[in-house]
Amino acid sequence: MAIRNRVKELRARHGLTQGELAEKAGVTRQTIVSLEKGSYTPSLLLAMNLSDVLGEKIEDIFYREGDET
Amino acid sequence: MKRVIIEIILSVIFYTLLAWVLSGAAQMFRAIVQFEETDWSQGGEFYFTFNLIPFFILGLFSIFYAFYSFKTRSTNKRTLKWMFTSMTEYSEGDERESIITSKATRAGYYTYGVTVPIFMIILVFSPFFNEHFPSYPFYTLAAILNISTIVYGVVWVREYRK
Repeated sequence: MAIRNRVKELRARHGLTQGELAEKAGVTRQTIVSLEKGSYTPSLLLAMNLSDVLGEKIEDIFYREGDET
Repeated sequence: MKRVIIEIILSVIFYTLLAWVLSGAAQMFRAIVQFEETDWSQGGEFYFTFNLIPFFILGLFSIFYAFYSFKTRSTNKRTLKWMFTSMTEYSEGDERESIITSKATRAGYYTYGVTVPIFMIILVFSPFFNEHFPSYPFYTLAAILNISTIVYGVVWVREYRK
C-alpha cells in the first residue's frame, strides 16, 4: 500500500518554495520534488521534521492510499 | 546528479588510463626479463623502447581528477580520511540520496557477480591471446570495473529521476 502526502498543498499554504522547505527540513530540493510526486516515502525522522516545519501532525500530512478523508 | 555523472565518467577514464599505463609497465618488465635471459657470451645488441606518454597523461589526469573530486565535495566532507575511504561517485547529501546510493551500489555489486565469472572464462583462453595482445588481462580488469561503474551510474540516475 502506497503512502500519499499533502506536502505540496501545505507548502503552498505556508508560501514556501521547494528550496526553502528543503532547507528547513534539512534535505535537498530534489527530495521535496520526489515527495510531492509521491515517488519517495520519507523516513520517520524526515516526516517529523516536515511536521515541525509545516506545523501539522504527521498523520495530517501523510496518509495511506485509500484513507484520504 | 551532474556531479555523480561527471565522477562516473572520470572513473571510467581513470581505470582505462590505468590499464594502459600498467600494461606498458608490464611490457617493460617483460623486456627486462628477456634481457636477463639472453645469453650475452656471444655478444649482441638489445633494444627496447618505453613510452612515457601514458604515465604523463595518467599523472595529469589524476591531478585533475583529485582536484575536481575534492572541490565538488560538500565542505563538511573535505577531509583526507573521507577522500581515501569513500568512493568519489557516492553522493549522500540527504536520506534519499543515501537510499539511491545503496540501490546503485547493490546493482554494481550484482554486476560484479555476473561480469567476473564471464571474464574469468575469457581468461581461460589467454594462451591464444598472449602472443598478440599480452596486455589484455589489464584491460579485462578495467572492463570489469568500468561495466560495474557504468551500471552504478545508470541505476543512480534512474533512481534520482524518479
